[in-house]
Amino acid sequence: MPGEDAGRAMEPLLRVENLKVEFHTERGTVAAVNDVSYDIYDGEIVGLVGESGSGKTVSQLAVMQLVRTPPGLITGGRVLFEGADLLQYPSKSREMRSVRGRKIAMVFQEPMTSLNPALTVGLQLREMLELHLGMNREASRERSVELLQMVGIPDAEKRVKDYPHQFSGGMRQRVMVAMAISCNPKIVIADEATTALDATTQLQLLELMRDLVKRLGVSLVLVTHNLGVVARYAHRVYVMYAGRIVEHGTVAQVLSCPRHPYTRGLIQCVPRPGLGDRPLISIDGMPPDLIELGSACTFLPRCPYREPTCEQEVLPKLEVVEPGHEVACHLVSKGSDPCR
Amino acid sequence: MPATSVTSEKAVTNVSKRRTGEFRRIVRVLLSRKLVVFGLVIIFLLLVAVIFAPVLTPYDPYKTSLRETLQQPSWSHLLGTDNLGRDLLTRLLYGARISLLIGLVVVVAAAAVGTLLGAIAGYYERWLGSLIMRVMDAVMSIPMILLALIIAALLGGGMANVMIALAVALTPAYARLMHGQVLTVKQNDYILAERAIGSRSIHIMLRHLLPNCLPQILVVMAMMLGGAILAEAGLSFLGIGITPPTPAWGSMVNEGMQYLETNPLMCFAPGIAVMLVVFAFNMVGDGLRDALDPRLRGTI
Amino acid sequence: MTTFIIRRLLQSIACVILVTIIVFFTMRLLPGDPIRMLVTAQSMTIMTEEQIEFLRHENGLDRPLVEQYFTWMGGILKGDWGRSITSKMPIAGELVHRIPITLYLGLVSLIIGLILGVAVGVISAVRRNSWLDNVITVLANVGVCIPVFLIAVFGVYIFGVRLKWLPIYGFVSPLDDFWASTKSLILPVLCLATFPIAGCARQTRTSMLEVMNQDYVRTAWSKGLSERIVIVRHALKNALAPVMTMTGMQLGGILGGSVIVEKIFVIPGMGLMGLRGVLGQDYPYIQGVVLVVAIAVVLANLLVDISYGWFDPRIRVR
Repeated sequence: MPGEDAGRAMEPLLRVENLKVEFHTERGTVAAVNDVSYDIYDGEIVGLVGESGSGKTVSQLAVMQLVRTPPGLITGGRVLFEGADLLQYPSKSREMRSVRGRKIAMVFQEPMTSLNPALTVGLQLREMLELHLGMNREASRERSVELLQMVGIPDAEKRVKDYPHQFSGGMRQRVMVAMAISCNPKIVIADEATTALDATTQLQLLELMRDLVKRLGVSLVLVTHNLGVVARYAHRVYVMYAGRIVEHGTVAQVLSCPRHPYTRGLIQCVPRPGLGDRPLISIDGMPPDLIELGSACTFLPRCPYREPTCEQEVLPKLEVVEPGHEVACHLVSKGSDPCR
Repeated sequence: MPATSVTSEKAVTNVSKRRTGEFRRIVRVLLSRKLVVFGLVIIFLLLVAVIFAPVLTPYDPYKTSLRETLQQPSWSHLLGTDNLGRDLLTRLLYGARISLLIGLVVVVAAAAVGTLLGAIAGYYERWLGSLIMRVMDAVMSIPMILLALIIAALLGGGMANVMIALAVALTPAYARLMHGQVLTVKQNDYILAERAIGSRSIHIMLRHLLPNCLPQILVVMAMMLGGAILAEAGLSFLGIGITPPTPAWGSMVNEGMQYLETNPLMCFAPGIAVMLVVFAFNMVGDGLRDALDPRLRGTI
Repeated sequence: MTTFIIRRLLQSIACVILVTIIVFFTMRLLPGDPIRMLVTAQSMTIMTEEQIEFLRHENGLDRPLVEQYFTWMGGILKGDWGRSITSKMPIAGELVHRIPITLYLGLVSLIIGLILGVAVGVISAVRRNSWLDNVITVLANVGVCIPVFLIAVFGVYIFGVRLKWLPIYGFVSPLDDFWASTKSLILPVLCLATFPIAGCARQTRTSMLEVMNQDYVRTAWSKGLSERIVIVRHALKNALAPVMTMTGMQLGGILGGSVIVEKIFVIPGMGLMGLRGVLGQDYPYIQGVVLVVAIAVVLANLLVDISYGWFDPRIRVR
């Protein structure tokens, strides 16, 4: 599987290095994304897991330079894609515009509000085709019908002239997926794309995305708080907490034996049928206030394994525990291995 | 026993602390915007003019003096005199009284009648309420100045009728506001609780609805005051409502049009006065709205 | 969409009929003798009882009110709108001459107001908090406070009296001499268009700011579309709906303002006619003008509603 081997010879499709994004609010500066680095390789599905406020959405918006400025601001890092650092280009520049939608596309969370209610679905598809692929009216019309068919919208010929409010939530997300793949991008970022849907529709959409991704050879980034989704669909996973990556590796590695206390907590939280009346486990405490972060490990207040030494040290850095699997935890660095 | 009195005492001080804290916050927000401060200054000057007019000027706004007609600004007549020899500044100051009086009466009357109608419409939702709101919609769709013209035509000119006309034109806005509020608040649990213990409708409306809606009503009043003054100026310019020799700013501009070449101040002064006052009330109204509830932006 | 239009059209016609009923019965039910619909108060003092009775009978004022209504409506539809009691001239004839003038003036002002206002509002929203935005916002806020007559006075003083570039009164039809007509209308249109420009600018700015924060605009950016397309095709179309409603309401202000403008610049339009009617208590005049205005307002609302349906397809279902 791509990306699993330790000695990868391939270059990553997208390399994000030390990304930092800040938000300036009345109360202070929020470090929403704090020194985040990750890679995306060709043809793989990568999960990005974290709770609300972990910075997972903001990091993806930053890659596309869609962060609302003000109050947000990308303050550091590099986004290396196709031999260039995307962050060097201004947000409205021609270079960024030729990347968005064409090379990297995004599917957003809220199907109800993410499509323009005043324009037909067909037009919203066609404008991308005409802009990025230079198609004329005829060609783009045909292609938009094809795209709707590809994502499983019945009666596509007619539906292409309909407005978003005439589609159900699940169908709208399919339209969003169609828009995302329309220009054959290299990477599709699905930002909690299924969170707002009911369980059955979620499943359908994920199956659709995986299927398309395999067929078209696109890499997919699944941003979610749902470990189950990651377990089922992703090849590799990054776990984020309070704006940092605390653990990453292949799905097999991380889920079979999570090293970081937060990841362990997440896995324990998943309710399992058949366990009877056992109380639901949750992670103690609340997500931290991103303005008042100290210099020590951010997970410290909630960590059930914490030792006195943890309080005295600075932020743990990511360190390799096995090939392809890194964790940022002092205890793990010191050799404690919860899986043995 | 002592325990309860301490807690209730604390509750009262907490409430009044909250009220003063709220008040201070409103004042702070208001003063933070330069334009709002500007507006408040103008309103203050207006009030000074209105209250102290007889003190500020030795002249009588009605007394004509054929020897001193159409004089240019000088130390004895700071803005000059008009075609009948009356001091322009004096007439301007007395005109402030007319503008403010009409504006206030119109807005307060419209607010009173409108909120009452809106409350009734909200309370008796079914047919009475919908009838009232339909009538309000119809009135609202008629342009204000035309409504005033029609009523003036039917009832004759004169200040009272103009005020009635303008008040009628402004009433639907309050009715709508109150109606909406009543409908929302009706759902609230504490209203149901009150009814459960048998409180009478009027009691409920007065004690709960009114205080809740008061801020919004005040905002609407402030914002409409400008419009009312503007409309009245236009009407008196046309000769409807206030007529000479009463010093209304609009009719003063009308009188001055003939002398535009020689004494432009006769037109400019009252015209600019109207503009400044309307601007002031609009800015303060905006400021109040933002201070009390920024969510209202775009709806009012 | 067509069913929507037809439905609204029928509603509008019903509305107009309702207005005629209201106008008619209000006029008749006022205190005072209905004979005042035919003669001035002064004339009445010198007429004998018999003459009054005769007039009353002649004009069917002693018939039942409902019958009078239908006779009157019949006359209206046939083109007989009665005669002015002061000038004794038929009203329909005068209206036919005056309406186009006021219409021309009003429409030009409204359209200029809409186009300029929206353009300025969009610029202001897109360049939010820049110096340009601040200047535009202040100007717009001031613009809605300026009385129509003040602009007129300034305009006449600067361009008419001091610089002598523009005529300060009179009206030349554009059909006769377009250039002279335009010159004579620059000042009046300036007066009438100021409020709409300012009002539209404010509303457009607020509307655009709200729309630009919406998710679908973010989606549009994420598709790599240019700023121009995002603003015009995606944002503006959604933002214009409330602006259109407001424009419909502007009509009232323009009609009111046109009375003032027609008086100052001596333009023989409907506003002036209405004013004379009001001041002279000439009821048939007033009746005619009110009817025309009511129809205009209903029509304007109809157009606004239809445009709403175009801007926001969700409305069409209702």
